Amino acid sequence: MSWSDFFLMQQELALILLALVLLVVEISLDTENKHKIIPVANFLFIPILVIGFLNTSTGSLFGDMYITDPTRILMKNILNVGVFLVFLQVSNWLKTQANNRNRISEFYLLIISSLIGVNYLISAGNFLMFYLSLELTSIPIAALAAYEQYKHKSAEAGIKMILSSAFSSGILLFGLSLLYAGTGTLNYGAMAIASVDLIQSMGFIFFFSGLAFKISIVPFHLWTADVYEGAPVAVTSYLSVISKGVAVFVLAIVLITLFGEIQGLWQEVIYVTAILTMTIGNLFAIRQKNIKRFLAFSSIAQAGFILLGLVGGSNFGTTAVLYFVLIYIFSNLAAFGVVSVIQNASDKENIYDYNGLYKTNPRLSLVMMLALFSLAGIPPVAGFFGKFFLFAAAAEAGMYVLLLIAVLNAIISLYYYLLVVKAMFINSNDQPVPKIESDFFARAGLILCTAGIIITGFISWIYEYMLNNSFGI
Amino acid sequence: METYIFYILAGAILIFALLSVTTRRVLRAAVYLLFALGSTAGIYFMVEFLFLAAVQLLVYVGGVVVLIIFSILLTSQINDRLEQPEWLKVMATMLLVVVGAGLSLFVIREYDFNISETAMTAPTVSDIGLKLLSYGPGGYVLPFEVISILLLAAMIGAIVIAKRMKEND
Amino acid sequence: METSLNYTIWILILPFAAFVLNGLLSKRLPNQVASAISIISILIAAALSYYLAFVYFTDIGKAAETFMAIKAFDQTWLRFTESLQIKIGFLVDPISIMMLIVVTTVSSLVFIYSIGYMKGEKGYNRFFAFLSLFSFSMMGLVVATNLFQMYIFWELVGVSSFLLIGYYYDKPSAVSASKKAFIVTRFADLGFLLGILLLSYYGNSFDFLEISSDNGAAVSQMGGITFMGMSVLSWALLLVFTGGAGKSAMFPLHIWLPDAMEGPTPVSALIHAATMVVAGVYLVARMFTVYSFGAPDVLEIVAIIGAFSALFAAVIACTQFDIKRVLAFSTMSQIGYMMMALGVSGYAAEGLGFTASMFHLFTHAFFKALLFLGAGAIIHSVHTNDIREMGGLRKYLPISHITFLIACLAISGIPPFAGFFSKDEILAAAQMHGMIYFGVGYLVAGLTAFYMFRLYFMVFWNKNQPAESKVHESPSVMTIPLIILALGSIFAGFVPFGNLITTNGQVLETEFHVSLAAATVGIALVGIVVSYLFYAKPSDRPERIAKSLGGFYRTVYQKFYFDEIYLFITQRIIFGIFSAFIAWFDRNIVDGTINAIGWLTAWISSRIKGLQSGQVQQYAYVFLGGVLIIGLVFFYYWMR
Repeated sequence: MSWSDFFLMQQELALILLALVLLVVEISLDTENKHKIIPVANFLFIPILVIGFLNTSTGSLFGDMYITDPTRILMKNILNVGVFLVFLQVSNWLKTQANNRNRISEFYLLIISSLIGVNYLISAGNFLMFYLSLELTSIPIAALAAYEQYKHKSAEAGIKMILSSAFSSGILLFGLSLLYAGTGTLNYGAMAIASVDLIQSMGFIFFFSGLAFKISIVPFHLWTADVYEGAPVAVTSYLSVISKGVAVFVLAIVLITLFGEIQGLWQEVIYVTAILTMTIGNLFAIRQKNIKRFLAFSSIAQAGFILLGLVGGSNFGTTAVLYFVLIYIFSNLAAFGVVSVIQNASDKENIYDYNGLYKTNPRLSLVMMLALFSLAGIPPVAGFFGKFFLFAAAAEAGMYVLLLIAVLNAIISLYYYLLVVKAMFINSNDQPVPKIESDFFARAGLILCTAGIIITGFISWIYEYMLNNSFGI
Repeated sequence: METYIFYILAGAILIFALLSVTTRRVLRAAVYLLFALGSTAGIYFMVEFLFLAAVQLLVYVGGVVVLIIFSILLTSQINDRLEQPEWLKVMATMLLVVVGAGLSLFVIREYDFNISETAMTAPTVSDIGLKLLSYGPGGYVLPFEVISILLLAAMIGAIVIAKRMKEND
Repeated sequence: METSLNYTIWILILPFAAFVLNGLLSKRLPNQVASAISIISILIAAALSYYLAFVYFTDIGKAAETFMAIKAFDQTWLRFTESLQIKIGFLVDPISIMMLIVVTTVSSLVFIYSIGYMKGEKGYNRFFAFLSLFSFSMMGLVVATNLFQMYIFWELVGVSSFLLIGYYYDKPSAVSASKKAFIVTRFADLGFLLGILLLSYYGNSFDFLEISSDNGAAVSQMGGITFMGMSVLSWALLLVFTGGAGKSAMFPLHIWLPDAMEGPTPVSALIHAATMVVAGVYLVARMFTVYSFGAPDVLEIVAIIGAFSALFAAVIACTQFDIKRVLAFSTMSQIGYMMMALGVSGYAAEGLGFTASMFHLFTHAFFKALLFLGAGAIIHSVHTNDIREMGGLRKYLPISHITFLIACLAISGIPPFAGFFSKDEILAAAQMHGMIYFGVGYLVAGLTAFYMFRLYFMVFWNKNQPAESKVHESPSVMTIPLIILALGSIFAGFVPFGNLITTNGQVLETEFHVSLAAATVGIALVGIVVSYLFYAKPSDRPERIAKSLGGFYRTVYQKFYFDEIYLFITQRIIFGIFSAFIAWFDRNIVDGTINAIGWLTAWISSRIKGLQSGQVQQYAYVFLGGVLIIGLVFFYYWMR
């Protein structure tokens, strides 16, 4: 193993370096100037994004503990972009809330730790690494969910997340132990899953449930709404796109590279859970009054749509998942960005508080409208293309009933997304949200998201690139 | 003889685990947990996995449970009793537990484990240490380092939650 | 491939540029500049379309006595697989050119008309931006080379019409109407999307020319695969038709159209008369080869739904008092006519229905746009939509009166106005296919004449004094488009459609059926006369006769008696009970079903809320329960 091999681990190493640099910077800042870490973190994150595009070679390290290839690097890049957008959105909140002042750098350090976990999780080549990185992704976020500990809801969100996540880890570990019992190894490469072994299939079911928890697939989704509602908006947006995105990616990786032999089993499982997830997510989303809870259920429904891309296990389906997650990051972060700006300025988070938003904040309303249109999948915004490819993947797999249910759900979702649009543009309000001047970073974040929503669908090479780097059975 | 010891230990684990979740006093639950974990260590000793047994005793019995007991003593009234759960909930939970246990048991019993021919020698501490820091095939240095990041993150997380605003103190 | 067709891209780019310019600078531009940008861009696009039509029909289009489809350009955009790609292109063939002519002509006139109609409204620039967006999307739809491009523009059309209908966004009824239109058409569009997915996966192509080539051989293999008793090809085409039915307001997806009349009247003229609502007809016509060879059963459904919608809407139109709603139902009825004509059509020599349908689409665009714009001029003058509050306007609005009359004559099928020729062909085609279709078509022709002249007499005759004395004619920016459209309504019927637009591109011999024409004109005249009797004068007849009741002439009495029975049967039974029932059915059952679906969803959603209790223990319980259920189900299958 030579030094140059470490370049295969470029993204993780750069992130660890960033974390250490931020720790040093934190120490050197005196108490009054803690907020100066915000621009430092934001600008130092840009090289991380660039590094991801430098080296896209294939290889493995540490005796197959760590695997990398262009697809995995692409996945990491997608999620790193998402985290960058979260960073941009969070700065204003961190800076202006008095209670946060002496804990700003901790926020960044925890997110970056979690992101390191995300990167290792994608590159894991062994279930030991897999499990450790999975915990690394979620434990720092559970702490962040309780970041506003002085608020009852935030503390509650933290404890609920830690408890549920411990429970799901238990289930996942039990599944892994059954898999180990059945194959005698934890190494991806050495693990030969055979459809004849009951213990392996059962192990897979437990393993899948543990991972489904992270994606908020019904019936493993119940924690989502409470945690999303209670946690600070920035943490919620991280949970809803990054934590969910990485779980989807890893699920795609293991389903296709490891569990291809038992495709019959997981196809059925995903088929049923996809229907449940879309439908339940939608039905709950309709009744929500709180915008964060609303977006939580909408994100559950979106997870159901994502499963359409996995169900066939084809190259094309995986591409659709990659593409959709990228678009979903832009759309959901744009929506959460607006929610964050408004909550920060006026502490309002109910849907009826958005009544008449257009009159006072036309730009924010437009961004929100585009984001919701994209989530609803209305052409010509990118969300449509994302959903189209997912639907096409289900059609390719020949699952017409599933496709039909998905389409019906898409219509239901259209209804509740339009309700929010209606609230912003049409409903009148005696006390609308006052006019808001957002800061540079928040504005940059929203502009990037909006650009992503509009152009991702039209720039065909993004899709081409993903198609060329995708994988399937 | 060994068989009898095994059944005694296994029975102890089961009984203590059951007591731990059914008792209505928090402190007693923690103590029952302590016994359950201790009995598990006993099984490890029995199969001559000394390192694992030691870790079990040190970390779980000596560390985690003691921590739990401390935190219970610090935060709640020891005499408080938990609510009596509803009858329906108890039954529902029982059902789930029985089904889950039955399913798992059946699956494990069905499986034909290959028993390896060569006599297994328990690894020594130095074997384990070398494995932990080896970076070749079968080495665990990368997970080891990931754990260190995880611990660092957990510490920072604890600080974030525990840190009060200066004005409040 | 002709490189000389590169200029066609400007037909699309110009309106889009106008939209971007007006959209981005909407606050900064003066009103005149904003409208000028939109109008000039659409006029240039119109000129290019006319030029293209001229070149195509006289020169480049014809090869071996057949009009060919030409792709002006076709750019690859997204690639699924090697063989399945999404392209953006510009298809030139007879029907796309015909539609381009219709869209650009009507758009130009509506744009000009809007200068006068929208004067002083707030958001004037925004309105023109949306109009440009709409025209761009509509033309993109028309020239689409493949299903996917069509779908994208199809949705863009939906979005821009959503924006235009909801233009009066401070008016709750307008907003709920635009929402309804959006959701209902989206519902249909998702059917369309499913159809596209099915077609593309079995036919392995989105391209119209490829799936239609060799009489649809590429997709005919789908005929063998069946799903629930129907071949997959039939399912796919039926789903595609669902999309078309939604846009074209076919029963039962028509419920959005009358409500959409809440939008500004020029929008109704543009979107709900001439362009967007015929997109469904255009879609079926575009894929006619596939329908005709692949799924004649679906074509039969198209005919049935078209005929039923035509009759259904015509009956409702007789009962409405809102001028725009009458026109809306009339539009639905006429589009039903076109659909029926497509449905009854055969291929090649039997393709009269296809030609007739396109012909009627063409002529209808003129007189229906004229009717809407005329209605707009009337509403603009008297500030009400209710025809009972109008009357005797002919002296005050002379230009509107004459042009409206021309349009009424045209839609009623009176020679030599445009509607006569196209309607005659449709009825001839229906007669060839089945007498039931002919019967329905014939009845609708009579009803059409009746309700149109009911409208005409109630608005322009009836009472002698207008409701307000200060009623005056609209400005010339509004009347000139009326006059131009009136000319179109007179002369559009003389275009030799049989030579230009046919199923296979070859000339179709159409003959003129004197007896049929006479019968059609006859029933139209009956309709006109009946409406004259009822509505031309204020209905004081009962009172007058009441005075003579104490009187002396038995004959007078008998006449009265006869009159009363006549009135009773027609007014009370036919229009009072029968039509009222259909109108009630429409309002309560069809609308109600859609509402009930929404209500049901909300109800289910409220029933399951207990799942989300906030207790972590319960969450864990459900979690474990979920795992075990999956495990047990798997285990069950394993043991078997």
